[in-house]
Amino acid sequence: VSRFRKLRVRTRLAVTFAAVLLPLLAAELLAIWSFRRGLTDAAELELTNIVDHLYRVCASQRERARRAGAPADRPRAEDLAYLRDVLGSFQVGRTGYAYVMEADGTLVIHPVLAGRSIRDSRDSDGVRFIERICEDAPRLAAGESGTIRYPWQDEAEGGGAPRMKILKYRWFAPWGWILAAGSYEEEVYGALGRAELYVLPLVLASVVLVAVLTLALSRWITRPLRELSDAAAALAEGQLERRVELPAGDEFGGLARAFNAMAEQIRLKTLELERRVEERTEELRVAQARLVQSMKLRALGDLVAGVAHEINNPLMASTTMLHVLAREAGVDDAALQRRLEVLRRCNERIGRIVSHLRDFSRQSEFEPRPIPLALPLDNALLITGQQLLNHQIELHRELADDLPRVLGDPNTLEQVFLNLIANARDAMERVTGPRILTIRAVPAVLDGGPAVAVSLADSGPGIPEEVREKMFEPFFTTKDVGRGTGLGLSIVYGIVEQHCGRIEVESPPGQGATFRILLPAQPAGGTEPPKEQTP
Amino acid sequence: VKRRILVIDDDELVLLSLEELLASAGYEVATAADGRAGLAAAGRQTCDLVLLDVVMPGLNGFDVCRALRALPACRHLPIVMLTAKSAQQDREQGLAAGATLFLAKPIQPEQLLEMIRLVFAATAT
Repeated sequence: VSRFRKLRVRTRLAVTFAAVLLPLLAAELLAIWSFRRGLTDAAELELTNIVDHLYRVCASQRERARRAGAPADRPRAEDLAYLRDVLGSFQVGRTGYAYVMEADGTLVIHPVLAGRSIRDSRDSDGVRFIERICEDAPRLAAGESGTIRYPWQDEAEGGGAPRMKILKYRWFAPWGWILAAGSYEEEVYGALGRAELYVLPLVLASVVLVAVLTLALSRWITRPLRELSDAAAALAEGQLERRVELPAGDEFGGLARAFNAMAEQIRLKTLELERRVEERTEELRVAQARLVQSMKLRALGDLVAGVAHEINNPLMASTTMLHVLAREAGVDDAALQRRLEVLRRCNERIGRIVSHLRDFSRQSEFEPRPIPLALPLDNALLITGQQLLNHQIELHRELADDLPRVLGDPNTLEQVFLNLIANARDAMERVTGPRILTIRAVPAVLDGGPAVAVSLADSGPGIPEEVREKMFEPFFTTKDVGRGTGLGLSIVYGIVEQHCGRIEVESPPGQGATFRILLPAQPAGGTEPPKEQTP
Repeated sequence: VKRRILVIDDDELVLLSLEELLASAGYEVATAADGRAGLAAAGRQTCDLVLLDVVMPGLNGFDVCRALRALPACRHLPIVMLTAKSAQQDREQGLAAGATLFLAKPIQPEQLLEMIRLVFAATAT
């Protein structure tokens, strides 16, 4: 059984079919054999009947002779004549005939050889078959008939191969006669012989048919299995689009449907997985870029702090000396005062740059606490309000009522707004149309936690793509020499980073620029009290 | 009587400019280019105020401040610390070392003179 289980399904089916069909075939053969036996018996019975009939005729003639008072041990002449008539009327097959002979083989009644002894006759194998009959017949029990088969070649019929003859005989004791009837087997079995002509090829054909059917059927049944197996192998090789086309309805149809559903699931899951890997890769790329940026900023911060410190001393000395000089020169010397004023402005600008550099590098002085966003924003607006008015800039301040408190440092956040407002102001300097700065804040979500999204949108000319790529880098500026240090947005970026926030810029062509800052906020509870006045 | 101010700073340019500024404002000025020289100067000659830089080689401003406070003559001497460092922590450290006032560089000359005036006014009372 275990060996059977190891066979391929096809082979197993073939074996099963063979196991069922071969016994059927055997039964068929058996049936044919027994049918043939029946037919043979029936055919032989005809010969037996003739012999029996002959016996009865002999018996009734003898009885008649006995009643007539004739001796019972021998037939009368009229009996012989009558029997000759009767025998002549028998037709046995086409060439067969009945005859009577004495126990010593002398023919009593025979169509051709009456009166002659055929005791020494031999069949084509040389067997003295008549002698055998003569010996056997008297020994037969009452009512029993004997049978003998022998090959016979009839010279009268022109030779040819010997054919089997069958002979039935019976012993008629009162007269010491052997009553016999015989014929060629083929004539006796006539119909049977013709039937066999078809039966054997039919049986052979059915054997072949069974074999072919068995193989074909097992192939046909296992075809869906092969298709499923091929599809599964293809799927395993990564052909995720591979599906199985099988007619629905049977078990294989159901299996195919389940397989297709599974394949689709795998395809979708794989796509989803690929998408997520891509997403994560992109996130990592962005995170790494941010990390590199903040590391660059930190290294630069250290450098800048050193530079600022080094410039500070000579700057202070210079400013101090200018002060002393200006005082000593007196207000009367206008020309000198004008020149000293130029120097003083030089120092002022250097001072501003140094101050910016220090802001840029000032990263450790940062202590976040929950504060209302309005605190740093309104401080920045207080400082820049007059400037905005001077530049005819309309300000829209739209803070949502339910803003949570942001986690931040009010001073550095104020710096962020100062820088962004100053940038917006500069951006709109040459705008001839309406100059509008819209500052809007709404609750948001950042990295799964609460946050505040602040956006500053101006109606300036917008920011070209190539500038957007570089504008957070230190010392990158688009402003005229002396007006910008190129550190403003870099400082903004650093501060937002420090707050674990995000900053992004949108600048659709012709629609100004919008800076959007996301700042982490205090989780539920501390909301900003509504405060909706525009400074 | 001219008030006497001792300026301790390792930067020669700062030293020179402060000397000029304070002198032009009517103070008598002594200078020292490092902490050790400053301490020596303070011990040699009494002064009414010390302008002290924080970042210096050798003894830094905090060390000098503490050392000055240890001198009996200087226990109540006004000490104004002047530094490019403005961090709150430095400010606290300076005040803990005994500084009277902590000012951040760069400072406008008028502002510095005003601060000095205020310190004198406060200590006078």
